[in-house]
Amino acid sequence: MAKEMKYTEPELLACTASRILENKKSVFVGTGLPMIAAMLAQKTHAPELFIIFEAGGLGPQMPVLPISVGDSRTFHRAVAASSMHDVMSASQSGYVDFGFLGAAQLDPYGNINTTMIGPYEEHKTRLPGSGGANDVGSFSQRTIIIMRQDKRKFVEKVDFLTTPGYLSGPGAREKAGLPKNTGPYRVITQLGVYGFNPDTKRMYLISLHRGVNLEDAKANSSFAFEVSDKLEVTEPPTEKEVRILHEEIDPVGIVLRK
Amino acid sequence: MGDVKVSKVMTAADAIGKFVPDGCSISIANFLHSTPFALIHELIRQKKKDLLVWSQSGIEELDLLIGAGCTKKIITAYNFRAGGEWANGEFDRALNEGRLEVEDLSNFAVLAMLWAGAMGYNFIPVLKGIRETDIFKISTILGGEKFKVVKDPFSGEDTVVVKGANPDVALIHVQRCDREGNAQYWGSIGNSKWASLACKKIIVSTEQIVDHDVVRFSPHLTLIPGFRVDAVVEEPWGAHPAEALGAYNTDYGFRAMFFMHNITAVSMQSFLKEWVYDCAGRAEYLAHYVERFGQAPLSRLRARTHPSYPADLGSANFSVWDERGYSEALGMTRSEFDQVLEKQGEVMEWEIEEK
Repeated sequence: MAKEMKYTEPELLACTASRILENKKSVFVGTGLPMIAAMLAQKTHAPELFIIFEAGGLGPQMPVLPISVGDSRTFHRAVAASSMHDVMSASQSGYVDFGFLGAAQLDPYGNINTTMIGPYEEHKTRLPGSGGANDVGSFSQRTIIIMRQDKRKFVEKVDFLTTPGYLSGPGAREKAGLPKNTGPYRVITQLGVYGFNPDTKRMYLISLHRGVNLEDAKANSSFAFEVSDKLEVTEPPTEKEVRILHEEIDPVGIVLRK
Repeated sequence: MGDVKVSKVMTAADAIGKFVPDGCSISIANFLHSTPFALIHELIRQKKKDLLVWSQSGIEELDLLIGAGCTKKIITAYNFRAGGEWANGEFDRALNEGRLEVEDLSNFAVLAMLWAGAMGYNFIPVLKGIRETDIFKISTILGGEKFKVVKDPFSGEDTVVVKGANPDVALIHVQRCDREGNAQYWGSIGNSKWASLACKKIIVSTEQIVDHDVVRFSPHLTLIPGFRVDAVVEEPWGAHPAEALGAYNTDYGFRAMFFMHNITAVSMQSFLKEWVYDCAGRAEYLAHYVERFGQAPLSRLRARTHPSYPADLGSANFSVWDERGYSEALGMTRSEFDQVLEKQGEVMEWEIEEK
């Protein structure tokens, strides 16, 4: 057996997220790990992945990791430097396959809070707000959520519903008038990968990362979740992926650190 | 329409003094880059009060405006948090001390309100799933003037609409502009067009004032036509520490320094004193920068050139008919062409008569 690869948590999250993306599909990405995952996919299995940025960059060939969704790298050698208006129009009309979001709190139906912790009037912590998250979570066919998981973050009910997941369960998205065949697809945390049960629309565990046991995952969630019959161990990052991450995508260690 | 023959060039102090009264609403165009910092600093120097701020996505400009006491009300989709989710800066202090109200929207909802306003519409539909979220359910500054549910007259189904917005004054920073205010901007545009055009007045700051002919030879680069613009302010480095495409990069060192100052109210005020109040304008701000850090860090931010492929705006000729009344394309004179038209007319009439 080959020697076990050493990797950090951000590397693992980036590689796991990257592998979910498919070639010739489009992905709407935000700042940080989503950008890194999309760039990694482009440099490995999905060279024709079409990356979309909120400020208007379409299909860029980024020399190195952008810092924000509006900086000049987001439309470097792009096919278009358009506007938020253009990007949102295309997205709302159903032309976006994947969306990437972060979450400060997540409930079992994939509903997201990125606005504030605590009750609105007497909140404990103010978060950045929706930005495009509400929009991306509404129109993307498959939304991927990357976040750290613990009992305060995996909650039965989010303090502020910023971005709709499957709302209250089966049929709720349709009833709310959200576009058909859209919604949360995967949740990637430092412990494992979750999917959504097509019947109940609740999260269930698909794979655990190497060295993580089921009890760890359960202990870090305030809600109960089902576990796949075919629970897998997440494929760890390869040497090649880790090398690309550090040498080509984030050489200064902005997101991945050194 | 404004008078396009008159030069609108003035200083930042004059533009802000003339067009931004206390208590008005402002819209900060530009989305995370090319932020109009020179104009924002001028708002602060003139101690503007009670501004209602429309900000699609803010970084330190919001902390600065709050810390300087210029605003207590912000309508926004996103405010960047240095230090991640659990950050604590002027924005948070103001919220916790009850000095600030925030109206939460999504990016598309902010854009849609400004877009509708720019088109002269009272409202515009948005994706209706937002109805299930707290962005829809909770409203502060806008009260009932945010979302409404109406019947779609075509499908008969419920649809969610946002109210069109027309803030009083837009602040935008561009790469180049002529004296009449024809503002040219390139790169990804974010919300800049709508965040400007929705407003009743528009103040443009520009890296460079260019000859009117520069605009005439590249009309496809004009983002805001001069007839909508009220003031043109020439401010090289006017977006620093943000990036201006083709001019300079983001100054991360300076930004980091700001975020360190933002941690306490006292250090925040010392930043405002050093970099805003004690600088009479952008030129003094730059001079102070060079004095503090030297010329080298500033020079290192200068963009390396990466020109776009030129667009050919040419055509074969300006009229079908040359000065002799002959058309090369049609191979006949104007009077011959008239005869053909007449004949065809006869043919058609004849066909009609036959039936």
